Amino acid sequence: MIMKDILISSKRQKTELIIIIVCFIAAFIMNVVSIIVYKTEWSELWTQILWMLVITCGFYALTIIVRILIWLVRRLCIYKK
Amino acid sequence: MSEDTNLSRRDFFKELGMMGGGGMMLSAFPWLQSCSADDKAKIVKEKVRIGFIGTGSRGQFHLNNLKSNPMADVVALCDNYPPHLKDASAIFPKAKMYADYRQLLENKDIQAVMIATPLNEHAHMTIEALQAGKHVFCEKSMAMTPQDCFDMYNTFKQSGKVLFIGQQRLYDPKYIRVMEMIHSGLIGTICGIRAYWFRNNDWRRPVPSPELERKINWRLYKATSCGLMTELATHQLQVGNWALKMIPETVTGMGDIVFWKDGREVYDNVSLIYRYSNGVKMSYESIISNKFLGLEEEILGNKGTVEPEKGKYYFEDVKPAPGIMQLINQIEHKVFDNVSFAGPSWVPETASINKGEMIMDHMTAHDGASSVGAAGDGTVELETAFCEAAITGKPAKNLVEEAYYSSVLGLLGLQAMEENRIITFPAEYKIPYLNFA
Repeated sequence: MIMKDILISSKRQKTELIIIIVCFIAAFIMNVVSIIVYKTEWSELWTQILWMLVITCGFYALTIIVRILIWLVRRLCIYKK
Repeated sequence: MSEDTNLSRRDFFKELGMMGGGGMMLSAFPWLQSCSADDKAKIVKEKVRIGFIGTGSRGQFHLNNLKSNPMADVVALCDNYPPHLKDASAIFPKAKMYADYRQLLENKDIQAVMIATPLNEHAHMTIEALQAGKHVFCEKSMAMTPQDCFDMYNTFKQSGKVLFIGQQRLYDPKYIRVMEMIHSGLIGTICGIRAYWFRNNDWRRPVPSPELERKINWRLYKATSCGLMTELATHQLQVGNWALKMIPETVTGMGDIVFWKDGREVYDNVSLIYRYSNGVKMSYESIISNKFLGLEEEILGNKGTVEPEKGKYYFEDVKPAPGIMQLINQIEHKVFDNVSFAGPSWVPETASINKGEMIMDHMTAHDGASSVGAAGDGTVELETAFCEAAITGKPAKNLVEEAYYSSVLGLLGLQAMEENRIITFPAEYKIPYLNFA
């Protein structure tokens, strides 16, 4: 069986990295907002880092789902034309 | 069930020294200061010659401890039950044996006596020993009547000798730590105390022949024992007084033989309320046919609660769950609360459950099932303090007063149950201490 190389372009890598960073920033903002709203300690900015990473992964997974949906809709539109 | 990482006596006092105030803190517990550092240095190689009266189960527990105590030299043993005396002589083979305590008291070589006999023997043995010029350690409870307790106290005061009563919680590291926390205001104002001791055993010892029933199982009969109130409650009543720095003024309660209907005369099920002059109540309950709750003295303050037996404290205001978890929890509720198939929350709402904190790193907890004694419960420290006091001749300050009131309160509780009424602490039995000074 011949293994097939999957090539990820540097543009794609850059795009994914930016998406992950944006997701992390969103999670970070969410944490800041929750600290302000619930009046908890600012030390949670680093003590809750694991939760922030989990939420980052959740957001990233959401972007993947959304992008797959967009891709599917586009394919459907192209197919209909 | 014991989590034991035993704290050595030196480590214990070192830990205490590290707590806020150090020496200042120790001054709140005067019995711990009776032997000064100078005294300790002077008596470092001295021993006290002890005559031991009552070599049953608790007696042998003490004797085994004394064997490894460098200040104790047990030179005489006394018991009128030969098998116990034989067991004890195996621990101290060179000790002279007596069947009559009066002969032991006549022995001029003996400086101190330790008494671990049935309750009905405590008062007259202690009084005679003090009058014979001996320092005395007597097991708790002091006696079977308030008058006997009062006579013991007065004889002690007149004798100028050392008297210790076996209230080992006064020397138990975790209790001392707890009291330091309470008296520093950590749990705020004490609003109530719930003390209880639950076991599930019949409290009986095997009897070789029927005529020895009342001798061996003395705890079960009114002629020799006051039952749960003198065997268990006195320890816990003392904790309540210690925490509040007060003596309760009234008591009422109910007692019954509910489960162990085996010919015993003392209650196996008691429930009482002690009321202090500031309105605080200490409830006390003891049942020996269910062990689910074990033993504890829950001391309830407006800012927190302590459980000295478990060695835990709990603040009323629990630290909230992290903000991010609260936010997720709220989002999840908004999304799923109206969805019929949604199960219980996956978000740890219970993160804010009050699990409490340990009061110290190294401590020993026990479940109270043993009626002989438990490792790390302060008994070794108490015995050592007695040896030091007997060598220096300096009584431990306030120790007898603490023991006196817990003994009398136990007896008044029993009277309240037997007479089915509210008992007020009799003025004639008040000795000058705390709010009765």
